[in-house]
Amino acid sequence: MENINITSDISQSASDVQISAQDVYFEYESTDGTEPKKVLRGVSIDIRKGEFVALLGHNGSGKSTIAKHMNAILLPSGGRVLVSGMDTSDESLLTEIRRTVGMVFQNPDNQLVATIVEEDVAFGPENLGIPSKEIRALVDDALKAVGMYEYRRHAPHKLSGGQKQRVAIAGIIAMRPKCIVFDEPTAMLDPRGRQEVMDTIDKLTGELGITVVLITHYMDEAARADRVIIIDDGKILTEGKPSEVFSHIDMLRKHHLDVPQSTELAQYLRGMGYDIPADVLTPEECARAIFAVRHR
Amino acid sequence: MISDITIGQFMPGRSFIHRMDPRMKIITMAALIIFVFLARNMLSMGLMLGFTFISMLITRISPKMYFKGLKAIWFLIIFTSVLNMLYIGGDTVVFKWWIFTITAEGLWQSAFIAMRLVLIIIISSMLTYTTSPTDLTAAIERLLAPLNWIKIPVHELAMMMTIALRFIPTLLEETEKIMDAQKARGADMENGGVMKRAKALIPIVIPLLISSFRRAFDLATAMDCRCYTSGSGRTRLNVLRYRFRDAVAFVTTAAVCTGIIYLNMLSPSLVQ
Repeated sequence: MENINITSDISQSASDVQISAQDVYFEYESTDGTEPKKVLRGVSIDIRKGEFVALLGHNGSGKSTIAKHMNAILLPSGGRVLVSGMDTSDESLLTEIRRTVGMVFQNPDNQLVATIVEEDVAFGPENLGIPSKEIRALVDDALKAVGMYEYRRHAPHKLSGGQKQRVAIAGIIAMRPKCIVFDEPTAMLDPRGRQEVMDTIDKLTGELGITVVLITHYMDEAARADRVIIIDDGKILTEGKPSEVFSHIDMLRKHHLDVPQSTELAQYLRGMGYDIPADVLTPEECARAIFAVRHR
Repeated sequence: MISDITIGQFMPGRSFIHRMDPRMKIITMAALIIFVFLARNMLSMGLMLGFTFISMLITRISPKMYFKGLKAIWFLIIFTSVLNMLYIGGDTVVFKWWIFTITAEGLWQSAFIAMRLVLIIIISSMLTYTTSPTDLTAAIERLLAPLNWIKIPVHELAMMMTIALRFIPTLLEETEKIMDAQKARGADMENGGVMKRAKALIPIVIPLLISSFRRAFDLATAMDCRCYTSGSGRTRLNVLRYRFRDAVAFVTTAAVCTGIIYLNMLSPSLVQ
């Protein structure tokens, strides 16, 4: 939970980069003949192997749009996106790209295909033409990784939101991707479901070493990442370690973004003259800082 | 709750019939249904009834469940039997009153029709009671595979069936939610004439349609992300395999069918 690694100083050789968006532009063509709607206006992001990156932004900022470029669901109108060096606009590489970068969406119901959990998890490997025996092993491993193995024979519609989302994650893990992009995976879940999904994401980045891109508007979730990128109006507003980014409360406010409640409290107390560090992120850190003040 | 409805009313179990390959279940039960119509005297019909009854016992599903399936068509059975009893003419008159004449031939005919209908319902219920919808879809896909030759997209049709089965409970749940939401806004769905009630359905059907389309788009994107292209080159987690018990079922069914043809020849036909 507190593995906030400092990755920004790792030297950035080309082989380290998992996904590279280079000056990406994207616009929706309008249906009524007016100006096309520009959603992305020159976004450049490099996601390194094994990194956990959070993409933040309010509604309509373009954060979901850039995410959909990462496995060729959308193709850039300008610039290019490379996945492990493969250009997403090359149609012959499509299967390989989607096998490398998996994607989990907001609504857990709308991404499950089969009537039985294990058959749903098997859907990806089946599409890839993997032999049956190997699929069995992939499915069992994936379900164990998300803690849903006991539910393998259940019907998806009988599961809770958090459980469904974990099954959806298992369906992606079973394809053995190098990277998983999460597009607001907790937006439709109750607090318990959110916790389940965030714990699973922690496990992916920790034990399984999968690169994770998390699109969210919950600041607390973004605080867990190695790096936070804030998108506003189709451009990158700022990026850096969560503690750096969230310390600029005024700037975030100006762009209609929240900061984690712990950071906000810490800053408020600083303003009142207490000696509390500005880069507090989690409730635990916050509690510790306040405790330290009390006992000074 | 309406979302508790199970499609096809699958009742899980570990019986011989439950564990048969679903393809063999479809093949043998289809054969039995055909032979229900070929049984023409009491000997062959007796064999059919006996075999079906024993199969019912093997499934270890309560006979009550099978009779539940019959409830829906009781009227049809009685109606067709009575019509046959009255309209089939014959030489041996049993009963005569006003314009109604009942003959022995007519009685046999109606009895056979009733027995046939009952048997068909029981045999087809046996298939759906003992086979999960997933297995059923997989079996249909495999059995219909030859139709690929005449360009019928069998895999795609089976995929559509699977997705439909997957989303029926989800959509039922959503319907309930929308109905509650509309009731909360004062919608009245229980009172009024047919027209009024049909109109009351519109504010339920429209949101449901719109949300279904959104679900369809979402699902298509999710399937794209999981490298779905189409049937070709796909493998399966659970491969259907004929086992010893399927051979036993096949041979037994074949024996019963042969028996019916043989018994038909032993005594005269009782039906036209």
